[in-house]
Amino acid sequence: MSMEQDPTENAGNAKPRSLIGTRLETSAAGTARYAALTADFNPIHLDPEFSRNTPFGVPINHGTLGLSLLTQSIEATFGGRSFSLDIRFTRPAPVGVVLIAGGDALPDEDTYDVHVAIEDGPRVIEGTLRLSNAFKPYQDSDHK
Amino acid sequence: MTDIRTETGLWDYAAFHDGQLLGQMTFRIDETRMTLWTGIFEKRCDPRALPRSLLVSAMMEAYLRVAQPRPPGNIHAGQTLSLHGREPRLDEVLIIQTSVERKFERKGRKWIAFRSDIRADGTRLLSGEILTIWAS
Repeated sequence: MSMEQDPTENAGNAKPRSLIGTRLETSAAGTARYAALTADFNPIHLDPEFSRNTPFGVPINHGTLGLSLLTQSIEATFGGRSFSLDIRFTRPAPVGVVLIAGGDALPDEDTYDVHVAIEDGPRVIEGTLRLSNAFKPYQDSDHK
Repeated sequence: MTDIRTETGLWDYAAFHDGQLLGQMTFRIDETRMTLWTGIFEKRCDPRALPRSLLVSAMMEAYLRVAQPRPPGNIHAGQTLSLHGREPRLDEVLIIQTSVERKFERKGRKWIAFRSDIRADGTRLLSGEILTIWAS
């Protein structure tokens, strides 16, 4: 994985215009590791023979692999700040593509349009990021 | 853990109801999981403050373990996620609770929103909804 953007572009206290992008070259080996990490061994992610008979024709990455990459983009930009995401998995990403996660500021305060896209290709995850106002670990007692 | 699977043994749509607790498990992000993560993303981890994306994979593992066997063809269509600040630590005990937030039918498809909450030491680290189109 690598960073796509110079973090100094977001230096200072102003709301960053964009997230620090993160990039991942997906591969069968990486997918196998992610399957082991999540205990999700669905053959649609792992087995080319099985996948040939699916609408996709080839193995596809786990959707949450892209979500994890997006989470890292948010952490790279805002550190340990609390946040909420609301995303849709809009299309599958074949194993072997390069995924790029990032986002752009929306007019609303502390809100971003976020996405994960195939490099030079379509978005596979789209959604909205809302930052919390301050770093404050949530305590169970907060809602009692 | 509540288990009301049908005679087929699969969790089918009828077996779920709003508010249903599917399971609560203890979980540790151990050395093996951390090593898998570093192998995937080619980044180092600080064991005292692990990347919060490891909570995402923990959420998915917990969900997949309690809601199985599942019918083939389910689609993970969407996700809400709140990360509440603190990072998980290597080998600390996480409590992961998975439940059915709600189910509904729309445009002929059967949707289920599963809720996941991860706590450590009384602090909520993650809450989220796994929005799924159930296959049968």
